[in-house]
Amino acid sequence: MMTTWCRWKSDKVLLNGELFFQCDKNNTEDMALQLYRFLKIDYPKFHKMDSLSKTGFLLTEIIKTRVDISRFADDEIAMVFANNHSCSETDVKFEHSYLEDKTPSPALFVYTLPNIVTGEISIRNKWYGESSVYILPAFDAGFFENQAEILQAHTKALMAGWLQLLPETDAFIYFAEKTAEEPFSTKKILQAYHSL
Amino acid sequence: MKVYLGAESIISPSGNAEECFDKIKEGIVGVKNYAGRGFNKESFCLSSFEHHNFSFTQLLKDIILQSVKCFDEKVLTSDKTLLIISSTKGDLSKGYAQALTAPATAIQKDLQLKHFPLIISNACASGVMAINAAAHLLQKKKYEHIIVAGIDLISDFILYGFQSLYALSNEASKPFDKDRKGINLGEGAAAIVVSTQSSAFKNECYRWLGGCTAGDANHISGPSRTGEGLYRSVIATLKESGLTNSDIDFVSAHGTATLFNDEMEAIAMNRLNMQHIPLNSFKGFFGHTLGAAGIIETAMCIQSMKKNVLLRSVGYDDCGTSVPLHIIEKNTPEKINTVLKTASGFGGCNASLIIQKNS
Amino acid sequence: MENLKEELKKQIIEQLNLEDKKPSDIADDAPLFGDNGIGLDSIDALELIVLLDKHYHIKLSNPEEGKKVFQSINSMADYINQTKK
Repeated sequence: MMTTWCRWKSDKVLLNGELFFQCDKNNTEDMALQLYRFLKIDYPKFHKMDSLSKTGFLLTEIIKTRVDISRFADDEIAMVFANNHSCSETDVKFEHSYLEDKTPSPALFVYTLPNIVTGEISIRNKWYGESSVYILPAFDAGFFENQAEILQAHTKALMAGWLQLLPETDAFIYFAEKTAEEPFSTKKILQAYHSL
Repeated sequence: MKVYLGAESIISPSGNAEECFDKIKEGIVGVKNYAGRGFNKESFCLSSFEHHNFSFTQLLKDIILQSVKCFDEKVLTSDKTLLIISSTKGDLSKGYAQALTAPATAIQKDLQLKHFPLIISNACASGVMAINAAAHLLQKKKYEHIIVAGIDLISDFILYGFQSLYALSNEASKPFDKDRKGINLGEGAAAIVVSTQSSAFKNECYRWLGGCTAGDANHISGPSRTGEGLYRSVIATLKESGLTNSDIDFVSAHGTATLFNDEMEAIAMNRLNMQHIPLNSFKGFFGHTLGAAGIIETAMCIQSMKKNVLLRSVGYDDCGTSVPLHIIEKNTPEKINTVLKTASGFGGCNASLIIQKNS
Repeated sequence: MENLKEELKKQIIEQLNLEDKKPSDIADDAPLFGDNGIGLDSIDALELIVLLDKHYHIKLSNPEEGKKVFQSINSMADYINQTKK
């Protein structure tokens, strides 16, 4: 069952329906950096990440403030993420590096795949479990229900969600645990997603 | 519930599945040197379509129709049928934000598919993951038939990107060899039908037994030095399949011909105690076809099983890994009943699947 | 030479997204890579090759060449001065 969820839309972040963070528009640092500092994380690799990886990373860190992930073995948390635009923001930046700057940037190129976000989260947490990234035309609770059903044979928990950055940040991540009563039931997903 | 796969088809610069099988057997190389393709006009070895007028969507349509011809063609428009597309960059001519969804939209309309195609984009492990995703969806009775299509084309974007990582070779690539210098990029498309109905296949079909994914949790573009993710993926796949390593007759490895990838795979295979199982990489022939690789190479596994021939690992001459592998050096007639296919990709993802002759 | 080293530190911080570092955090002789270094990885090594090209028009042909050059700010500055002569 879904135990914890985090919703980031535009300048607001909700955690389980309550306001967790609001962007300070007078702060010159962008919202991702403001959130990073607010969470008091010390993880220099964060600054190298692209916007998609930062979004997934931060939302996972926020969920971890409510969920004790030490209860799980290193391969018992699966990840499934999706959006409809892949890593297009980073694609544009990489193209710029060779078309305009005339020096193709390896640091940008390595982020021109939408699944790098799960790579970054797994590196941070030393998670060796199942992970996958899909491109869907729109947020689809049914898709996540299917994935949860498939994964319950292989895993004990699921970190999943929608990491949409275009036209603005519209992200939703939830944590679900396999329980006897409702194995990975995610019927509340749609309600939570539409809270913002 | 049993899951079957077959109706495999390939469209590659070297031809279709049968033609590619024959060419590998005859020692014909699938890559060529292309002058001036690099960012500073360097030469690189590629497997590239020449003289083609097709678009990404046309190639996608062609490969799906070719595959479905070997299956029950009526199922294409059934609401119990899904199309899964595996691609890393999609059709870049549609703009970066629509590169994957635009061809999916077009193909759904063109082929009158009942469901929007499911797109998996998980770096170079996409193809194997797409087949596994199909199998698991079928086991949960979400669909009865799933067409899995893998497709990627070489673009300046991809070429310059790999070049910036110093990952490319200007010679024909040599997976697992001591003189390997890096990847040859390749392009192409392949499709396989995955279904719960063996009778719907017009030709021989094979059983999918299991397939799992595991992460390296190490680095976003370099593999784990201990092959941890690949090791865990194969262990989980063997468990799901109800098999042990001694049941595997042939391993189709990822084998990109980079120093680090091939070394990692060798370490993982030794940890799995599979270093004695005949193994090859198809990338010496096809180049690295990215999102299409897992499907193209699984299709070649099926060809090998059909013809009972272990195909030599193109480009290999001498052992180049710190621990040994049983690399297939000569085409060898051999009964192949059970095959392990592996794939690894950026982000530290590692996927594997096992297929077996349908007795 | 001191100006060059200061410039290098600023360029490295910007190019490699070392957001929470200042030039004064990087000693001239501190190893850039390895466990005692400032924590750079293999992708950073490739970006340093890009940096040399972009700012100093020096082209290294492969990452192997970079190993000696990128040991520290000192070694980078020495290399740039030698190559530009």
